[in-house]
Amino acid sequence: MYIWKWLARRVSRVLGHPSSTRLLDWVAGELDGRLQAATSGHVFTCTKCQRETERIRALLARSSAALDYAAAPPSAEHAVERLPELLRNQALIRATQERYRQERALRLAAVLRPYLGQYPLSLLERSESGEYVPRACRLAGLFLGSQAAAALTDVPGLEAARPEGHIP
Amino acid sequence: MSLTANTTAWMALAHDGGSALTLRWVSQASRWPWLIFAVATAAAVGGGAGWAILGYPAGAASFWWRVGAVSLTMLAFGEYILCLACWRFFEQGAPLRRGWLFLTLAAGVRAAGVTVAALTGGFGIDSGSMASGRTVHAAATWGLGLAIANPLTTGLSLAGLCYVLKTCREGGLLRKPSPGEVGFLVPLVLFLGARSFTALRSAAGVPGAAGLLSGASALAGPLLGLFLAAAVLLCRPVQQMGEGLIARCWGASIAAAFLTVAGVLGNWATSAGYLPWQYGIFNSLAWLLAATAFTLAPAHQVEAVVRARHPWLRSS
Repeated sequence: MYIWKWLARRVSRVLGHPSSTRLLDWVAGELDGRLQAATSGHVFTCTKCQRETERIRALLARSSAALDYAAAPPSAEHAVERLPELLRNQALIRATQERYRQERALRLAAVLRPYLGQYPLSLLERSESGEYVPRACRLAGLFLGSQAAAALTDVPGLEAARPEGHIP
Repeated sequence: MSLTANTTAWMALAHDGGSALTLRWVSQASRWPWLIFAVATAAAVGGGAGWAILGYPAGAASFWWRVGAVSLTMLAFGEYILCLACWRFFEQGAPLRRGWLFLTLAAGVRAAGVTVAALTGGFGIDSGSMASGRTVHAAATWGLGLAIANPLTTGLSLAGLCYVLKTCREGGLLRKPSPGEVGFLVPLVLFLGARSFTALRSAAGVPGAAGLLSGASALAGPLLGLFLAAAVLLCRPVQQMGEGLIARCWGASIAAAFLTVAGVLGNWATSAGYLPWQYGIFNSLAWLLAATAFTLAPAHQVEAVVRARHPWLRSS
C-alpha cells in the first residue's frame, strides 16, 4: 500500500497535472482502479487540481440542474411567472428584426436612388413590411437587367424576387 | 451588325470585363452627345458670325449644312451602338430587351438614312448650288427630316416605347392616366384613327406600288402622333422616378419625341410656304437637338448599367 502511494506521488510528479478530461472522469468515478488511485493521490496533494476539480463539480451541478429543468416541465405557476419575461423577449426580438428590415430597406432605397430616383423611397412608404426588398429588387431587375440589379442590391433572395420567365 | 456587335464586345458593355479606362469612358457616355451638340452649335454660331461679318450667306449656309451632316451622322451611329449595347444588357424574355431591340432597329434605320441624307444633302450643297436657294434647301431639309422621322423609324420607336410602357406597368409605375392625360390622348387617338383610316382607304383605292407607298407615307403622321402619345404616357413614370439615370434615359426619349414632332412641323410649314425657306436652317437645330436626345437615351441607360455593375465607378 505504501509502495502504491509512493508510486502515485512519483508518477504525478513525473507526468505533471492530469488533464481536464481525466479529472472529469475522476470526479465521475469512471477511471479504472489504479488510475483512480493515482489521480486521487495527485489531487489530494495538488491545490491547482483541487480548484479544477471544484470547478468541474460546479459545472456538473449546473448542467444536471438544467437537464432536470428540461426533463421536467415547469409548473403552471412558474410558467405564468415567466410569461411577461418571455413576451418582452419576443417583442424585443420582433422590434430588432423590424428595425433591421427597415435599415436594410432604407439602405437599398439609397443604393437605388442614383438609378431609379425617388421612386424606391416612395415605394418604401407604400409597401408592407417585408415586401419592399423583393419589390425593389424586381424593379431594379426590370430597368437595369438582372446582372446589374444583383450587383447593386446584393440581396441573396433576388432570384426569388425576380418575375417569372424573365431570367433564362 | 457584326461590326457593331464586335464594337460593343470590345467596349465590354455586355460583359463584366473590360479595361478600367474603357469602363470609365463608357460610364460617362452621356457627355459625348452633349459634346458633339456643343461643337456643332459652336460651329453654327461661328458660321453665323461669318455670315454677319462677310455678308456671304451661301458660304455660311453650306458650312452649316456640312457641320450638321457630320454631327448628325456621328450622333446617329453613336445612338445605334449604344442601343445595341443596351439590348445586350438585358436577358432573354425581359420586356426592356425587346424594347431596346426595336429602338436599336430604329436607330439603325435612322443611321442609314442620316448617312444617305448627309451625303446627298449635307455634302451635296456647296456655295454654287446655294444660289438656287429655296429649292435646294427645301430638298435637303426634307431629306434630313425623312431620315430621322420616317414611318419605319417612327413605327419601330413606337414599338420600343410600348415595351418601355409595359415595363413601367410591371414595375407599378404606370397607373390610370390622369384627367389631363385623358383629355390630351382621347382626341389625339380619335384624330389619328380617322387619319389612318383615310390613309389606308386612299392607299387601297390606288392600284400598284405607288398607292402602297403613298399610303405608307400618309401613315407617317398618325404613327408620329402615336409615338407622341406613348411619350406623353411615359411622362408620369419619369416624373415619379425623379432625377435618376433611368428617368433621364426615358426623359431624353420623351424630349426626342417632342423635338421630332417640332422638326416635322417645321419642315411641313417651310415646304407649305407658311414659313420662309431660311427657317429650314433654324429648323435643323430642332433635328440636331432631337438626334442628341435620341442618343442621350441609350447613353444614360449604358451609364446606369455600367455603374451598377462596377461599384468602383459609382463615385465617379
